[in-house]
Amino acid sequence: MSEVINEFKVNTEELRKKLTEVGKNKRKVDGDKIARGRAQYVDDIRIPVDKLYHAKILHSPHAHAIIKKIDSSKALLLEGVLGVFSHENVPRVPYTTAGQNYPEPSPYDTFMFDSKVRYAGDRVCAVLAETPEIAAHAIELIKVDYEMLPAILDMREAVGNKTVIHDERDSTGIFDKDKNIAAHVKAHMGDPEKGFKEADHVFENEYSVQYVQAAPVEPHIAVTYYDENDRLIMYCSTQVPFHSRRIVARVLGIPVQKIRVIKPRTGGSFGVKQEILVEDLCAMLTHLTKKAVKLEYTRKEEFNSSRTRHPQIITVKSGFKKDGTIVALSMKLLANTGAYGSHSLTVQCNTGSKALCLYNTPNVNFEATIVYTNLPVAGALRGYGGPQGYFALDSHFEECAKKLKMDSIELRRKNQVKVGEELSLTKALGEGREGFMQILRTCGMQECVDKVVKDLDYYNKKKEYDESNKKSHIKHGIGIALAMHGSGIPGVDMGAASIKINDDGSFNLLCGATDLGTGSDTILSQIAAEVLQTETSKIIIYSSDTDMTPFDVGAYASSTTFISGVAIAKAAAQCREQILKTAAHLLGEKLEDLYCENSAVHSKKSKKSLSYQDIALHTLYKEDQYQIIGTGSHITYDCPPPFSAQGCEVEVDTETGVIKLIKYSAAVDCGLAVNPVMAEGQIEGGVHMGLGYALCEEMKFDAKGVMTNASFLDYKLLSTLDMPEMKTHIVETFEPTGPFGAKSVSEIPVDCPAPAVANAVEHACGVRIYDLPITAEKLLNALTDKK
Amino acid sequence: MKLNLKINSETKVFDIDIRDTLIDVLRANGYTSVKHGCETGECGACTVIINGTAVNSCIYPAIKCEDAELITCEGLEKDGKLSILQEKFVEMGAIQCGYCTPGMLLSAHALLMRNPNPQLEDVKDALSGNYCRCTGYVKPVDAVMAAAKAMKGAK
Amino acid sequence: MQYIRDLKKYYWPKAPQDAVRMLMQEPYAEVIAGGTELLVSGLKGREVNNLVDITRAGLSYVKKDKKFIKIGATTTISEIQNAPLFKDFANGVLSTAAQRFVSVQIRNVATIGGNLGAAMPSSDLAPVLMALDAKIHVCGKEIKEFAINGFYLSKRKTVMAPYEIITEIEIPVPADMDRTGCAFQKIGRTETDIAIVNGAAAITIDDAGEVKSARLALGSVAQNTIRCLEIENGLLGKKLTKKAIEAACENIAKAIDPKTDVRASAKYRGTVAKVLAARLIEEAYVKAGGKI
Repeated sequence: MSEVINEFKVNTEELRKKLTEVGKNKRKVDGDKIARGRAQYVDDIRIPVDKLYHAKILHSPHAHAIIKKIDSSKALLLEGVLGVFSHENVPRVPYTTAGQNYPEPSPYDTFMFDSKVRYAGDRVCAVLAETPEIAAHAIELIKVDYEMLPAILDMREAVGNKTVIHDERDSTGIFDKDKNIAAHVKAHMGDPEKGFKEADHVFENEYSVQYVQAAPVEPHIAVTYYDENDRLIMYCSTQVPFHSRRIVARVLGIPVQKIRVIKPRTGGSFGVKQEILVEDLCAMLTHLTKKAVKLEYTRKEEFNSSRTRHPQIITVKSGFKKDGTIVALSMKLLANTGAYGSHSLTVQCNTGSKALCLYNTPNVNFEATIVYTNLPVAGALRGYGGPQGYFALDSHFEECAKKLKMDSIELRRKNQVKVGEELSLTKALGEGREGFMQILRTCGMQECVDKVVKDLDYYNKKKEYDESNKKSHIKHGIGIALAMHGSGIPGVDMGAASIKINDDGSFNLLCGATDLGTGSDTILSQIAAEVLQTETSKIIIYSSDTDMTPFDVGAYASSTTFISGVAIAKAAAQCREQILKTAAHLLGEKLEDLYCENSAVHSKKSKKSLSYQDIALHTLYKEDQYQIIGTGSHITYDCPPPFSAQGCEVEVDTETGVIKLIKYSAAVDCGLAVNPVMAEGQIEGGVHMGLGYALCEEMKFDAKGVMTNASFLDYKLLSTLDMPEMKTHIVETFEPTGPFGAKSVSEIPVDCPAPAVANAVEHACGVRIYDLPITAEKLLNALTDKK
Repeated sequence: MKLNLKINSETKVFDIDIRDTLIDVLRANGYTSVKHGCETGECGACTVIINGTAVNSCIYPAIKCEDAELITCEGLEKDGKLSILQEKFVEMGAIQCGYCTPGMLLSAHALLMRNPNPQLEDVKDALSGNYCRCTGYVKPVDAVMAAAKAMKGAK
Repeated sequence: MQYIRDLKKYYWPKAPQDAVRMLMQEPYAEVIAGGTELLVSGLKGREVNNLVDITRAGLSYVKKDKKFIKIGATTTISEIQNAPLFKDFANGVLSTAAQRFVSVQIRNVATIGGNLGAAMPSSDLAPVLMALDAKIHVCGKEIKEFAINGFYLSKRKTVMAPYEIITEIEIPVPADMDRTGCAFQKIGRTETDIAIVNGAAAITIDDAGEVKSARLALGSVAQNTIRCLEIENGLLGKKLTKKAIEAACENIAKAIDPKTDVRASAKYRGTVAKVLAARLIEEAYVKAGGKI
């Protein structure tokens, strides 16, 4: 790749002038069909099979129980029921639902069906029937005898509890089964103990974050069938088609060769479709019955039985010198993975490696204990541990600044990691194992902060509100928060692509990179077009299909632009080289005299040109025929962090605790934005999700561990009416390791809203909330306690 | 039983079961822009326009549509060209995953049919029943405002 | 998914009396209007074979004469929200409440009769109608009329007998309209949430600025929407000040019986009910022309 990038390796401004496709607001390649209502999501695909059968799952109503008996006799008598499937008739294979790289760093502690249920929402059995209505009816007719077991519903009570959640023998990779510890990680830099001793001030606080949902509007869905070649075809709404294929092959006990996973349009994912949640079962039912099967979660199932953000209790301790220099920082997590350990180790590693690297601290300590409880399963969710860590860290920094009597922005600036410095914990905390030390090459944080400070009129308003707040029960506050994230998983994430030319000079771009709604099909097309010096509209992109497209780990860890993007640039460069060689031959000129521009090869010397169409027609039909085709793979040990500063103004009614968002400003340094409008969209969407996390989103449970708000009526997302006036900024830097200078953008926006809101609320009314979400009730209680 | 209605300006007769919700009838008849999102009338992905007003088709008995006039997202374009509203959604980055887009377009379309000069608050209100997890609503709201302006210019 | 497994017939009565007859004749029959309540949460395991849809029974209208405003039971929430009549009437309080009713798509279908009949304590319309002293007309074996205060027995329970349907809501036009002020307020977790607490007030004052009549209704703080009679009495004959309002609301705890749910705790509801009550009274009093 370096050769592709190197020709543009200049400063951003010069590069920008040369670019024709990248860095432009190109029309979303799938935008028209979506706007016309013609985009095909899994449920819209018409499969070439006569009859589609429908599966429904019976979920456990109990948090922890042994299944003594499943009486499905009545269900089986119902006309149109093909079968009832449970641990009694489905093979038992331990696996993880985490769609991660092989071998997955998550424990194999999950079974398609088990004789024990470990949370209310766990699978008990499934029905296959002719219609969804019959399947639902059959589910009602199944009687299950449970032997109730004591349930662990508080993560603080998990370690060493008499109750053991994973007492089965055949699960593997669990840190300490007997103690209910799914995973554990410890890392340090320097000498934290010494650092704290040498500090003039030591501060310590505990923060906690709740269970929340990704809540993509399209629920999990899979449609599977055997085709005429006796191959299992799986249409899935997934971020990880290749991992899905591998995991399902293992669970079904059939070769990978037998399976083809196709990902059509995806209706949002945000991490929760990095889980193999429905396709394993759907495929198994097809495998066992040879029928075409559809399995789609209802919204209720999506709430009860999909995946969540890991709840954590986070203790942050920091040591500062008198002048505000940080000398020691420690973060200890207790995290709740729920009943299964999907992503348990890696999400928590990420909490440490993302949050603890933002400030350049010589002595750092990190420890995470991830425990099992009889509650819903946590997993991957946009930000992947970042939002938890930054809520704690940035709330903590604001408090430290107050105690040190320093301006909090100045305190952050003083200690923030700078270009040329190492990111302290990146070596110790990799993807569940040792990672790769990162050195910071680009950082636009200062400019991000400046933008936010200006948008909010930060310093003036802060003073103004300090005065006006004394007079009224309606108080205003301003808060800011900073974060850095990563771009892909270094040494792990791999993307690949191929590009071939067609008769008319258009190109087919096939890539494993998975557009889950982010717009990656568009930006990857832009990258290909830029390298090929053609128009983005000349690129026909297809993603992703395990039979048709090269491998890609999938869309997660903010990797698609940064990693798959380079794979595509490499493939395009190869293609371009072949085009140039053919042109050199046809024009009888030297390669070094030729260049590509505007879908044609031009000669600097003779001023002659040949269009891509001419070249394609020649190579396909005229002489020594061959296909111009390029392939590219990319892996990197670099993981350049994007940076973000965000801030908000809130209005707090101290008589009711009600918080109103007035204004929001978000600035992100994502390197060079391949498509600025779409990058803004990532920022705005991430902020929306982060604000819900901050203010109102929370899964609630009754005393028996059953979720009590499993609907959009009871679990509230922010609507248009709740969103504040919003300013979005992209601060451009040029990241030499990224495609055309790009870093990632999709996850970092979620990291800041919660601490920004917490800090603003504290400014408004002098009360700090340590546990999310900051509801009106919680705030009013805190205000009352303060009096 | 038979259901007679007009959909996207075409007169149609659908075979329905008395127990069918409108969304299932529409999807079964090829109007797959109407999306499943929650089954409880909360997310708005299944929004269609019935006799000029936006309705959640997932909690609407199909039988209620006898003789009604419906618009789905498939009916917004004219002669194969995107409507101004659709165009603004594409052009201004209001679409990400697109799953909520048809519903949002219809909520906005219903608003603009009734109120061609909406204020920002009107647009926010009109879209408040359409959950979108991707965009944070910033660009969709802007797109509707821009569409209203452009439609005025087009007249 | 089909919405009612055992549904066999769907009726379209042309008049409320026909609807009642069908409900009485057909086994396992239920009345349906917009259906937003019935299809989402209304059945709760009851067997239903027949649905009687009253949306074509001539009950969709808003009328006004000198003494009364009459709203047909199947008038949708949107029709109420957008009716020019309600933009002005009673400080637009009914329109405001309608506008806070979940989402546009629901408002376009849900009906006022359905909302009142569902008898949920969080109804945004009920407190307003209580503050406006509305009457509910019911058709069954006979025609009946109930004051909305007293219409509710408990959560999901009203005084209506089996086979009775709501036909009309009648709101008296206050004689002293110029000196009457009305207010609606709501607290929810988000703008589109069901109320944690909501409420409405209507206050009429005399020339001296003294309260001649006062009605205050609160929602989501008891089994159903309630009138706060003691508070109302505490306001009568007084020129209101912040202190007087506070004093009148002092014993609000006696009037309410809040419950804990996913939205808020009983304790929080109790606290903000008091705040909301005071704010409603103040707003209504000021709108009536009173000065605080």
